[in-house]
Amino acid sequence: MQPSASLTRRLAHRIFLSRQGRVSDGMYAVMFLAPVLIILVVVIFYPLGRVLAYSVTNANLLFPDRETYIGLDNFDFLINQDQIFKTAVKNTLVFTLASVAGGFSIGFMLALILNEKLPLRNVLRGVALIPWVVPGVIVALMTLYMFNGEVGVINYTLRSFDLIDENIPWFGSLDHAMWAVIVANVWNQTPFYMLMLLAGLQTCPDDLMEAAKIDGAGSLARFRYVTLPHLSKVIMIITALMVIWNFNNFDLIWTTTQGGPVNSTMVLSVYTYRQAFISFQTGYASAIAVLWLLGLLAFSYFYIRAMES
Amino acid sequence: MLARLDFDLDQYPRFKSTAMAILLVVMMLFIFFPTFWMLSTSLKPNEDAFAVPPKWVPETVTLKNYETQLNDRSGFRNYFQNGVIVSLGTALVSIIVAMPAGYAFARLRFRAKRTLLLIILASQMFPAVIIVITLYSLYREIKLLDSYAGLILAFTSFSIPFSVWMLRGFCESVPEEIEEAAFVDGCSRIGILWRIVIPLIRPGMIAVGLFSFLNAWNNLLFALSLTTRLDMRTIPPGFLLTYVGEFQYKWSDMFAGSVLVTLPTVILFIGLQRFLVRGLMAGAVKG
Repeated sequence: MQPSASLTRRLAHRIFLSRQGRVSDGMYAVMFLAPVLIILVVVIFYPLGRVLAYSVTNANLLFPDRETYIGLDNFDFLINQDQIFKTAVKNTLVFTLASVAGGFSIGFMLALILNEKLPLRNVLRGVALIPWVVPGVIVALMTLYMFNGEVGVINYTLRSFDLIDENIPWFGSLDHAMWAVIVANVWNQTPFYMLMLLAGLQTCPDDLMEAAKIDGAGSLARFRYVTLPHLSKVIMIITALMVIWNFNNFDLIWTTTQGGPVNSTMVLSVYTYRQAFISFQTGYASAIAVLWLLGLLAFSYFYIRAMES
Repeated sequence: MLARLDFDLDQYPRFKSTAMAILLVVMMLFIFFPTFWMLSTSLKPNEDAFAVPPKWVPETVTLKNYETQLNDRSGFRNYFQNGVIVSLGTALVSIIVAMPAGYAFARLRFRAKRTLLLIILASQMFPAVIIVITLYSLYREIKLLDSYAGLILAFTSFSIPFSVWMLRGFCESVPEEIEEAAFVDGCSRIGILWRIVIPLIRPGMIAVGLFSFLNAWNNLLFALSLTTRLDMRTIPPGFLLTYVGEFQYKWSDMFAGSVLVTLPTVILFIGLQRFLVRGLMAGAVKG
């Protein structure tokens, strides 16, 4: 008589599991994780530690190894005297919130529509992804051209519809530069929201939708009580990710305006970069970084609390 | 509000399809127009790029702008070549280092597993501009400025968190029974990884490669800060220096270059995006 196949399998499973718990597992773990951890330590955590250390010094990029300890002077100046820093914080918040709100709403509408049965649906889904893969620098160059004060198509279109009487000098105007940048950013990111929300919508159980329909729930009710709860986790994750990413955005603003005109598009990332690589104030830039990290920590903390409840 | 909740769009199919069609057209215009405009401008003589009212479709089609770019040895071709080397390198290194790590988090048991995973994921959250303040000095000390290796290392660090996360999801989707069977046949851990897991999660590796490639191809900040020599520039800093400054108003040239740079990524991405979405979902299931 042959021993039953299932018995052999179960035995094998036992051995496999017991082997998994052994020391050798730990050794393999070290081996498998070492490359990733070494890279992260060298490129992210060590520089981060250095930033912390530099933040209480007057380190200068041009004179390495000549920094002296100056206590909390950097922070004192940042919080009490640096007006540009305040502007940068405010601009970063405007840029981030407007970008996330815009990208999310357009992306969500697109996802809902492209989830319906449409002719050419797959082609449309593919085309809608293009903006996301266009490099930030090229998005910025396109923005410079399209929002150009004299020859830009945006001004031309607005004038043809009589929405404005005279050309707006988008990048020469304190009130308009930020909005041009935000529109470009929304364009660039909308596909990401669409892609993620569409993937979430596709896993939405049909039977639940049918049941709600039979119970007489209208379109809005079905959206509110079936679709939204189903997507809530995806929505939480992508909005958190995008808030953090947009807070860090550098490429687009650096290429279009470098923070100008007169700091009207100065955001934290651009200001930090300027301090570090244009003014060479490594110590001061590090102090900005530390405050920024504290803000990030606070945001993550409250976001996670909110997510749990 | 509640009174309106029983309004069912599906009972008015004509209204629904019209409304949807209008919305779709408006949004697709928003999405597609800039790309179209880039393409259209790249095919015009430069004078026509300044025309008001704009010439929506080029009146005289010319490939001269593309020729200019492709013949530009010290500029465009140089940036493009650097971009290809660094991006392919980043994709390759990311796959090689994230693969075993993803497997370890999916299958191995070890101390501080959750904490380690959290640390790796959290490293994604740190703003690049903060890192680069001191990464520059570090690179200067260890002589990695202006080197392909230095750029690849920096780009890889930024794609690691996502790659590990995604590959962990893929590894978890491999049925454990197969691994057990291989184990019974005398296969070691590394053998299992190499002969069983890797062939099964190829889509995950493609997704990671694609993601890392695009990241490196598009990155401005690191490429700008960690290189000082012109001939080491990749595409984003190269374009920044050429077209925001000296040749700002060579719109047609600029967009011919942009099309050449964007085309490979669009093709790669649209061709392979299903792997990426599958990867995102695989990572999210086990949350």
